[in-house]
Amino acid sequence: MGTTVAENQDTEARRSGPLANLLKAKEIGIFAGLVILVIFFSLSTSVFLSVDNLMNVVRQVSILGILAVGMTMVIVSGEIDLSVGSVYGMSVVAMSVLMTHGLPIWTSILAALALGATAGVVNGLLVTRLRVPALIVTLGMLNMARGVAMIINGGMVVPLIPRLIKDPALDAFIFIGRGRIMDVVPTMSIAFLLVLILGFIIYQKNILGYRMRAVGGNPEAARVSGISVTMVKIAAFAIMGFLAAFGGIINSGFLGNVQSTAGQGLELDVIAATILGGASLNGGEGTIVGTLIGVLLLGVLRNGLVLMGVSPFVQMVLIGAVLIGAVALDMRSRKK
Amino acid sequence: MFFLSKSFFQLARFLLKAMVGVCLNAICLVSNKEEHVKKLLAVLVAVAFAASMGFAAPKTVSLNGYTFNLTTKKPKDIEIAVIYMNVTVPFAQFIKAGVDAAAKEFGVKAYMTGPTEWGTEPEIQVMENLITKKVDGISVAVLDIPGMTPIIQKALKAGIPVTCNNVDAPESGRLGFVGEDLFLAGAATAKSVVGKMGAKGNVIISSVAIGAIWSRIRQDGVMSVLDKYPNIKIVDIINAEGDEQSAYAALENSFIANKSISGHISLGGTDYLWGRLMENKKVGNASSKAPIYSSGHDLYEEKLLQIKDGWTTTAYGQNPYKQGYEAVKQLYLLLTKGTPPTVIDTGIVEVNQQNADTYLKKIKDGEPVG
Repeated sequence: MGTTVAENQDTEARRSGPLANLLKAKEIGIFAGLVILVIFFSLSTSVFLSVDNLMNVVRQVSILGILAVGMTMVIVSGEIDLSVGSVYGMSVVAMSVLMTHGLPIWTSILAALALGATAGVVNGLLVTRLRVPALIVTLGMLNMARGVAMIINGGMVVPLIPRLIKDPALDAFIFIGRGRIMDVVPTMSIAFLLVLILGFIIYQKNILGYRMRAVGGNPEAARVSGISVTMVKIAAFAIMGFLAAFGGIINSGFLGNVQSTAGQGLELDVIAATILGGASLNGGEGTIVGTLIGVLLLGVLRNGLVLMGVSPFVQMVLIGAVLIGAVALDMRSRKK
Repeated sequence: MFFLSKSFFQLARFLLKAMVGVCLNAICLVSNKEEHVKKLLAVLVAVAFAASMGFAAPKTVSLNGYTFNLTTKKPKDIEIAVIYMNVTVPFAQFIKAGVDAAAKEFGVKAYMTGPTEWGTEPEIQVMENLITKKVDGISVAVLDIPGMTPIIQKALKAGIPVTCNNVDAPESGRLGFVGEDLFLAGAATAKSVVGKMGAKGNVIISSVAIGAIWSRIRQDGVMSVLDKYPNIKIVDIINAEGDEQSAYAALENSFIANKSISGHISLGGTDYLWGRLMENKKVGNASSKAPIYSSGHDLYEEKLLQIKDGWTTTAYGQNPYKQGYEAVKQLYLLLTKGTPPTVIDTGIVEVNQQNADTYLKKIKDGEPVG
C-alpha cells in the first residue's frame, strides 16, 4: 500500500515539536516575505502601520480570502477552479433578483448559497465522472455561469435599496457587508475570520481535509486506502462554489448593488493568492494558514505601493514580479 | 466591371429611349391611321418602360469615397447591427433599449451585439463576423481607434455602411456618429469640481480603464480645465480596474495615501465606488466641514441617491438610449432613402443635488435615463 503525502506530513509533524514545526513549515518563506514587506512599507510611509490602514488592508483582502480558502481545498485535491468569479456573480445576481421579487432576504441568501454549491457540485461531477480536466470544465462553467447571470438580470445593475427591496432586514444585510464592529473592525473581515476558522477545522482538523491532501498527493494510493476520490473532489468543488457565493453575498452588501459582471476576473487573484500561500498546483500540498499569508501578502503589496505613490503601471509590473519571484523561491526551497 | 456599373445602366437606358423615339417617328411618317398609331404608341411606351425598369440600376449613394446600394429589401429583412465595446456592462443595456425601440419603430431587424469582455481583438472578431454575414449596416462603439480603423474600412469597402456610436473614430471614414463629446464631458466634470472646491487644492483622477480611448479623451478634457489652475495639484491618477473589490481597494488606498484632497474626478466607472468610499468612511460629505467634491459620468439610481445625500457632487448623463436609437435610425434612413448619416451630439446632462429627485423619478417611472 502506498504512503500518501498527507500521511508523510502528519507523521513528520508528530515527531517534531511545535517550534520546530513552525520553522520547518513551507509557509515560513512567504511569511518572511510578508514581514519584510510590512517593515519596508512601515518605514517608507507614515500611514501604513496605522490601525485605520491595517483594518483597510484586512477588509480589502476579505473577499479574496474567503474564496482563497475554498480554492486551497480544490488545489490541494489536485484540481483547479477557474469558474469562481462567475459563480460568485451568478449567485449574487440570482439573490438580488429574488430579493427584488419580494422573497425574504434570508431566503434569497440561502438560495444563492445553494446555487453556488450546486455549481460546484456540477463542476465536481463533470471532472470526476466524465473525467474531463478541471481546467476545461471550470472554464466552461466560467462562461455558463456568467451567461446565466447576464440572462437573469439582462446585464443591468440592481441597486439594493428600500424602493426595490421591502424586507426590513435590508439594513442588517447591508451591515454585514459594510458595517464596522466598534467602528473599527469591518464586519466583512469578521466573515472572513469565520470562514478561516471553519476552513481550518475542516481542512486541517477533520478527516475531509486529510483526505483532500491524500487525494491530491497520490490519488491512486488514496483510492487503494479506501478513500472515495470522487466524493472528496466533489466536496472540494462544492465548498468552493458555496464560498464563492458567500463572498459575493457579503460584497454585494458592502457595495449596495449587484451587477452581472460582479466578480469578473476574480479567479486570477484567488489562484495567485493560494499559490503564493504555498499550495502546490500538483496537489497534495497547501495549508489554510499559508493561504492567509498569501492573501495578506497580495493585499499589503497593493496597499503599500499606492501609499508610496508608485504609478499604477509600475505597480502591475512589481506585483507580477513578486508573484513569480515568490513562487520560484518556494519551488527552489522545496527541491532543496 | 463596367457591365455592373452605374454608367452602364445609364447608357443602356439612354439608348433604349432613343430607339423608341426613332421607331415612333418612323411609324408616324409611314402611317396615316391615327388610331393604329395611338395603340402602337401605347404598346411601345409600355415595352420601353418595362425594359427601362429591367435595366434600372440599384440606387446608390456615395459617401466619404465609398458607394453604397440603397436597399430594396422589406424593412423586416434589413439587418442592422449595433456593436458596443462590452455588452456585459450595465451601460450597454441603455444603448440596447434605444436599439430595440428603433427596431420596433422602423420594423427592421436591428440588434445590439459585441464582445463580452474588454479588448480590441474580440471587437474586431465581432465586426469581421458581421461583414462575413453581409449585414446591411453596422454602428460600432470604438474601443481602440487605430485597432478598429482597418476593419471599419474593410466593411465600408465591402459596401456595408458603418457609423460609430458612443465612441467615435473620425479618421476611419465612418459615415456618421452619435454620442457625447467625450472631451467636453471630461471638461464638465473638472469644471464641476473646480467650481465647488475653488482654484487650489489636491485632486484625484480615476477610471476603470485608464488606457481606453474614451477615458483618455475625457482625461484630456479634464486636463484642459485643470491646466488653467496652477494651484490645483493632481496627487494621483488611479487605474481602478478588475473586480469591484479590487477597484474599491485601489480608490481606498489612494485616499489613505492622499488624505488632504478636495476633489475627485472620475473618467468613468469609478464615481459610484468613490461615493461608497466616502459614505463608508463618513468623510467628504457636501454638508460636512471638509467636503470632497466628486464628479463622474452616467446616471444610475444608486449614484443619484449618493448625489442626493451629498456623497457625490455631480454626474453627467450622455443619453445612451438616444445613442442606440439614432444609430439604427441613421442607418435605416441611409439604406432606404439615401439620407447621409451625420454627427449627432447626444449632449451632456448634469445631475446635481438640486435636480437629482427629478431624475430619480424618471428612473422610478421606467425611463431609460442611463
